[in-house]
Amino acid sequence: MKYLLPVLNKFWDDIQSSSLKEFLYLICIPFFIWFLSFAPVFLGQKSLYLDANAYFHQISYFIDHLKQGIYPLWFPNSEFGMTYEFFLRRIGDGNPVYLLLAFFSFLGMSYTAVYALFLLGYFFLGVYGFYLIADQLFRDKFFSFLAYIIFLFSSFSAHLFSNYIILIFVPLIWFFYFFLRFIKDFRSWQCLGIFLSVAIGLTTYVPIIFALIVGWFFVCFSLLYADRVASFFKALCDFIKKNKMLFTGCIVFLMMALIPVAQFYIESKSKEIFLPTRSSGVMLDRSVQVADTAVNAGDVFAHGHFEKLFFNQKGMTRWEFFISYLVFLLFFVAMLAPLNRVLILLGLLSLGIMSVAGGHITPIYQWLYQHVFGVKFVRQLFYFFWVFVLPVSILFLVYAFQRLLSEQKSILRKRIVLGVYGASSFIFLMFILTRTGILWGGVLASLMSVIWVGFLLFDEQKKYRVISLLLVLFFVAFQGFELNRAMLKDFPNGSLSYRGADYRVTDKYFVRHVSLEETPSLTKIDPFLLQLSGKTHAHVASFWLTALRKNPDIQAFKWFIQYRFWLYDDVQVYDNDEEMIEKITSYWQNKKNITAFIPREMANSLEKRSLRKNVLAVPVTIETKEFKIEKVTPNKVIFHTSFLEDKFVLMTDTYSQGWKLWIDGKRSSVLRANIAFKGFWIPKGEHRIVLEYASMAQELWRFFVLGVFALITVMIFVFLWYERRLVKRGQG
Amino acid sequence: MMIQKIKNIFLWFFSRLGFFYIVVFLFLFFMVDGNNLKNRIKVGKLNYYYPKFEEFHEYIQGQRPSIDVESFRQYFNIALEYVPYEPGAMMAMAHFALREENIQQAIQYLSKTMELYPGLFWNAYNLGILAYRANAGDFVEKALTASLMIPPQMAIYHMRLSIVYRQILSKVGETYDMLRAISLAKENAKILLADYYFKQKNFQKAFLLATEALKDPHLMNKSAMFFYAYQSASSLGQEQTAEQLKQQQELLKLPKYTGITAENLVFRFF
Repeated sequence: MKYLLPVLNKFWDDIQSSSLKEFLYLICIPFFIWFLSFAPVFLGQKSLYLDANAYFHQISYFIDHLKQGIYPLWFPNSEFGMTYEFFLRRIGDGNPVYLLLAFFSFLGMSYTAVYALFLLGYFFLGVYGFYLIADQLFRDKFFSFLAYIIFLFSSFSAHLFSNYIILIFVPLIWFFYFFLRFIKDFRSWQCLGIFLSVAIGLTTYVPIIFALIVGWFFVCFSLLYADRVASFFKALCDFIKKNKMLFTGCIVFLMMALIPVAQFYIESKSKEIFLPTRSSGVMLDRSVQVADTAVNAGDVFAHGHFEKLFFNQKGMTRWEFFISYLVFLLFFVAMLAPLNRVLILLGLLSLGIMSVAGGHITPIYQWLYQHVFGVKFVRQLFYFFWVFVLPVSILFLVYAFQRLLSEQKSILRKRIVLGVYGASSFIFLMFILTRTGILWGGVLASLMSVIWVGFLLFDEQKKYRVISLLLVLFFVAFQGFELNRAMLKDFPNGSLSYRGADYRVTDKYFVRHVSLEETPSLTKIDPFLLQLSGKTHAHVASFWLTALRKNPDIQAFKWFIQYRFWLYDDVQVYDNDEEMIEKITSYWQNKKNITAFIPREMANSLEKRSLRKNVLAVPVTIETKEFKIEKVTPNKVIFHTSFLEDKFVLMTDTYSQGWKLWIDGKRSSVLRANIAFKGFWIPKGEHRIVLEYASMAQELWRFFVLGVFALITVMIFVFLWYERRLVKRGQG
Repeated sequence: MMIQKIKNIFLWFFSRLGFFYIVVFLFLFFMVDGNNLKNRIKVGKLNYYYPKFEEFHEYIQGQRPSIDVESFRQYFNIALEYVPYEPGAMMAMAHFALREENIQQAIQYLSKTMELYPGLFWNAYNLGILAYRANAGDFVEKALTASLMIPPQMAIYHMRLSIVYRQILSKVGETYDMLRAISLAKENAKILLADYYFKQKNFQKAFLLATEALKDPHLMNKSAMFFYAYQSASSLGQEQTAEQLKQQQELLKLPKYTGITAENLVFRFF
């Protein structure tokens, strides 16, 4: 020990003085241990599941098209086609990390590998941000490290593989980091960082999650630091005066980033997007709105998060909460810690947001639901717990513990604190030993933490810091590792694969070699259509398609949707969707598909044609000579026709007002046909038909916005590098 | 001096985090809605401390012939009182009704649950089975078709949303493969549905269902599906197809299908 101690102390001094060593030893090593605990997922032996599965496909679909130079705004293979804007809003399409992923994919990496890399890298970015915030608060690397490993080895990380909260968490954590730095230094890169994280936060999933947390932070911050608010605003005004261009650019960037969100909000009033599980099956004011009754299924108590905290941990399953038992002991002993404004701020932040996460258990959520814009769009209230309450609570407890330790100067007081901690540990240990199914890691953490606190209390000269650090890393990581491994048993085996080529719409799936006389052969149907046709409901689809799908005769529905295009000679107008669904089903059951049906409200756009009655509609197959596909992309379908008579073409792709039709360059109408699909007249003779959801200009604009996001990211690094260079030269 | 000491102790107390804890505790005490969280916690606690859940588990598995039904009924009634239409409790009540041979009552419980929780696989499956047993035609098709549409992962997700169900599941054991159980139950649902269509003389649907099921390489009961495919094809006058199916069946040397048995009609929780 005599010889080892100086070496360890030198090692600790090196960590304190070198950013690189700090990064490697304090950040990367624990992260690598965490990686090992979930290695089977990254190595493809275990799979993503639930929402993470859907996000894998949606993000892969996005980067797949980005690398082809297409900005997908329509998703033809999701629920018979629907606007991709819904998914872009969920994944936050402005996030520059997608450009990086597209680049990796372009280099030849598989989508599964790219996504695994994304999860790993993005999670690392998030936890590193958390460490930096802790460092800002504690100003002590040891305690920052403590908070970091507690968070890293909590069950937050398991959410990477079952849902998408990481997409909300990372911009949120970096917003707070940039903000904490900005109020101290007022640097350009920090200002850019704030705007970038706000822009990503407000364009990912439901913006109100980000907005509500940040809003609550500012309310609490202003109340507790009222004496400093005026000076802060003065300094902010000075900064703006000095950096007019930069600040104006940031405002313009933010507005630009928010345009798609505003557009989506407006469009959500239409029936083109409908989420039955959010709305309890009723069409609400907005499609993304959550019915009051559906909230109970999403609050923090709905999923049994806390059931395995002290019970049957071998059976730990997805979404269940665990954290190092050290936290509970810190909670007990922290009651002796001296209170200050930071602690009250952290406590209030955590408590306020937890009240929202609890849903109807407190009147706070009910009040917010009724009075605050946007709250009614959040169903998964438990996200508030994971992305904010959990990390802030860890900061709160570690900070309280730091304050408690720093206050104890006399031996007597130190003994009292150790006594209280030891007694709490003993009671806690007795408690967990009476529970069934507690893993060894928990027992070990409770026992070893007493020795660890002893080291911290009596190590006045910080000679044993490295030993304390290794000790706490051992028992926190051991418990986390053990629980992560237990949780892995609940993961499905195998790995996901993105069917990139299949997802891309090709004419292979548009015209198939099938004749009407055959019994519908399931093997010849587009696999996606087949998969979709078997479903009676979807998480998201148009309101009309959802209504049509309630029809229990799946076979009849399959028969109709096995073709992408039907050619009709007759069109009729109807008044009531529900009545029409029954009639149509009956026609399909009897294969009496002779008329396309258009709702009355669209009758004005329906041009009158010379009609031939009682002629069976003909599907377009590879043998149809008068119909040839020229090009298909998510946003555009181009084809050529040479009909002998006028034909009403029905496309079994969801109707949307966003689709425009040009016949030989002349604009024509796209109608809602057969309840949920697109239909339009094509005159006889040779024509070139362009069906377009997004124009070239729209696509370019979206690419431009994505480029600006990337540019801001690069600027942050450039400004930071420049500042450090100035500091090195002594001009900073 | 004494007053000064007391004053110091108070000041010390108010300056500690413990004081903040007390304030937070009081806030929670007055703010938390008793009819919501309390009830859910109560059900959770009720579950946790309920001593005889092992017995219930064995009983529903058929490993125990009888239990104190009244005591369990009381428990599930309390759960339903706390959380109206709690799906796990509703299914348990349906199970009790079935044991008492009150099949209509059981169907009522299950159909109400299906209306409120369409993603709960075992509920839809059991409803289909009971409807089949009771010859309640509409329900058979509706419930079994609905059960076939629920993806297995989603089925488990919905089971875990129920507080009571979670407790029942906790007794299942680590080695129990829930996905496999759902997959086998889906196969059984297809057999029942094919049989139902066949008995309804809806040969087209029975044929399509059976031929589609036969394409599944993991299908366990091939005999049943060959039987319905062959019989339906014959009834539809598709002699050539029927002959092909017969030859395929003979080639595979499958055992003879004897029709729906009691095994196909077992009420299951997982």
